[in-house]
Amino acid sequence: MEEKKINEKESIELIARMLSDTKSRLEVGDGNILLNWGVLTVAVATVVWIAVAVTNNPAYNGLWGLMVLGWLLNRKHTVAQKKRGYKSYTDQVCAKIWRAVSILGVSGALMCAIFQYATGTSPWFAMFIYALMVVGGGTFASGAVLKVRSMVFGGAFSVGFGFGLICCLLTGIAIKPVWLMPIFILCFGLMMILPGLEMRQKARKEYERA
Amino acid sequence: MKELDPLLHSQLRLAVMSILINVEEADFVYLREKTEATAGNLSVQLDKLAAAGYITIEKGFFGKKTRTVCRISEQGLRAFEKYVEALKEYLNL
Repeated sequence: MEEKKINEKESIELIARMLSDTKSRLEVGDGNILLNWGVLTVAVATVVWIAVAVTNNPAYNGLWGLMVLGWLLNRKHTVAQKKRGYKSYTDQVCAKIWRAVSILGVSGALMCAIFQYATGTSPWFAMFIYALMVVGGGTFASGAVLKVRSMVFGGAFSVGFGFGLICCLLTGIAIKPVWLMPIFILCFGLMMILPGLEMRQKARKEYERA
Repeated sequence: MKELDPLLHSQLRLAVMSILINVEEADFVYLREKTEATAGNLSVQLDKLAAAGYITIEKGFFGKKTRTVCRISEQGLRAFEKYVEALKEYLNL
């Protein structure tokens, strides 16, 4: 393309061609960030669950600290996005949603730590419900923006489960602790791993078609 | 009839604006790839658009390499909309 005058018809054709060429499509690797976070969360939850169940030592809950590895995954994602050369409006909206989810998550964890320090009683069960609802809300919103049904479904399922747990607590329905971790793992599998796999498959199909 | 904005009524600058209207931001390499322009020519046209306030250019680093990121401005968006309206009049669309 050069610096040259064009007529009106060529102008309209050029605008249409450029808009079509840069239409936001799923790219191979787009589902990876969701998949990576999902696998990390499920893996850490499983390790904590087994370690606590086998040893009966709650100190193994400290293994949740492994979630900080997620920042490395974010870094990898940012580098991949920069290599792509552009950022779409949906990328921007999703980035803002997940930034809000991160801030809410870290704030929740800090609150739990402060309460534990101040009262000597563990409030971390609240974090469990909070994570299901906050991450579920983020997944639901991202799924709506990206038009990925399994994300919307997974997010809604997780928020619903979190809310159900609050209702159980308030109405005095006994929750068996042994079921909590499998529920958590199921919710994160539905919220992140399944949609991540779906997005990867969709992107591959779009790439093959193009 | 409305007059066509001379700054936009040029193949390469119009292509750049059409791309930037569709994304939040795009880097120089991506724009060069999509427009198939030479680096020198693209650079000159980007500077013209930036001087008119139609786009913003941000220079930064990606690793050890420099990275130039372009975004359409509010003024650019309005100019593009006016240009398309004028085109529609010319073509009776």
